[in-house]
Amino acid sequence: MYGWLSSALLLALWWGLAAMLQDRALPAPPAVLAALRSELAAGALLPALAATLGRVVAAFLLAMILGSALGYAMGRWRAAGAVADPWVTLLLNIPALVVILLAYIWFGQTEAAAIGAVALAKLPNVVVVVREGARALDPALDEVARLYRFGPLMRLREVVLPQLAPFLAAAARSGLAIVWKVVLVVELLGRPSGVGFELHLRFQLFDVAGLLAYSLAFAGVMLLVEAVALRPAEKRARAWRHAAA
Amino acid sequence: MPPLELRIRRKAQPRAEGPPLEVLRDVALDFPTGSVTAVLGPSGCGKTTLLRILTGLDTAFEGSVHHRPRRIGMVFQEPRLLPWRSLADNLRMVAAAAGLPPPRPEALLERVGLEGWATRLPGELSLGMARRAALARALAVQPELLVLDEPFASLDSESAGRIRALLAELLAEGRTTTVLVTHALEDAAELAGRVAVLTARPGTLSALLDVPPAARREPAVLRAALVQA
Repeated sequence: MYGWLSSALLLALWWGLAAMLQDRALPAPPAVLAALRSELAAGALLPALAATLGRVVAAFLLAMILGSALGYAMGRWRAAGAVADPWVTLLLNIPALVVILLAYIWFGQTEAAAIGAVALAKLPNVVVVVREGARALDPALDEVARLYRFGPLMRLREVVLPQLAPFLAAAARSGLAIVWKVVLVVELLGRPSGVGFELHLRFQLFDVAGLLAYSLAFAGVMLLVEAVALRPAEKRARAWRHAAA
Repeated sequence: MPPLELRIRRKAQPRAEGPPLEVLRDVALDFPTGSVTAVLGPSGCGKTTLLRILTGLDTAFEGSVHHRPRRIGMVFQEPRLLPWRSLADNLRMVAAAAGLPPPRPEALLERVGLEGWATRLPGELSLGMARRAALARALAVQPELLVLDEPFASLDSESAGRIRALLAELLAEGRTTTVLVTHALEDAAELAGRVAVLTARPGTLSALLDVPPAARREPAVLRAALVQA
């Protein structure tokens, strides 16, 4: 209820301010809606959204898989933790923008460089979160798995992953939010398609309505992804916790 | 099948500060197939450590364990069920890991008095029920060696009674080598064929004797026998 009210208030503020200023730099909501409609009619909006979404998914999966594996190893084995720690710390403190620029310089303005750079920018965050999860694994359950001779796959699926689930969910949630914003930057800097590319175009044309239309459309897509994919998965992973009452 | 052979020369636990803490010293025990041994001793004398060495969970000791069977069922002091899996799944899982055909979890749970609980999660159980479920899980691997760490400690009388009756029934079959750690002489007298007594830390074997048949009805007989030994 309050959420809707506050959203309506934001919209009203925007509208009011736009009406007051009457400036190209802040178009009113109907102008943005019109821009959205014309981009959709011209057949430019959906391909741009699809291209960006594809990059987001690829970079997100890459960062989650590699980051989880590395974070697990660092949390589980002291030597791995000690060796990889300075690397992760360094990576955590390099701005995503620098990673992107270097990737483009070293590997060219290719799709692989773009996705790799985004994944690399997100990776250390996943590593740090999953490492904490791996450190918190219950040794008592580990012993159960050893005693009853669980194979490595069974151990992973039945003992490790359920304990890591809340940490993976946290990494995924914050990860998706970072990844899609960084993807817009790689597109803006060096891809010939996608929402970031379109934003760059609107920026040069000083087309603020178009700029807002693309940004809001993609933000909507990401909210949808979170609502239909991430949140239900998180809920499923937590279901057993409610058993203990 | 040759007896399970435990030889501990020395077991020390590293400590954050100071020299390692010596937990066990010179414990040599054979466990003939189908025998039921109760391990008695004061708190902190290394009984649990002895079980962990016997089952292979602890390998950092001086000595050896020979002829350890493949299928081991253990009831830890805490139930240690996988909380995200139903009781039935907890049972199925260990059987699958042991390479056994899928068991009938309902039947095993019924044996420990948990009929109708197969689809529940461990978090819904009381401690006594959870320990009974852990016993059902240990049985699901058709254990050649069954190890119980204080199975009656802090249980309601119903759960303790259930476990005691089931164990008595199981042990009478005489197929499963069983090792039982307990504080209570009465439990040892009722369930075990023989009793191994450890001294205070570092635990060494101070006595090993067969439980006299008369002790089954009158635990004091065992106490007297122990004092003599």
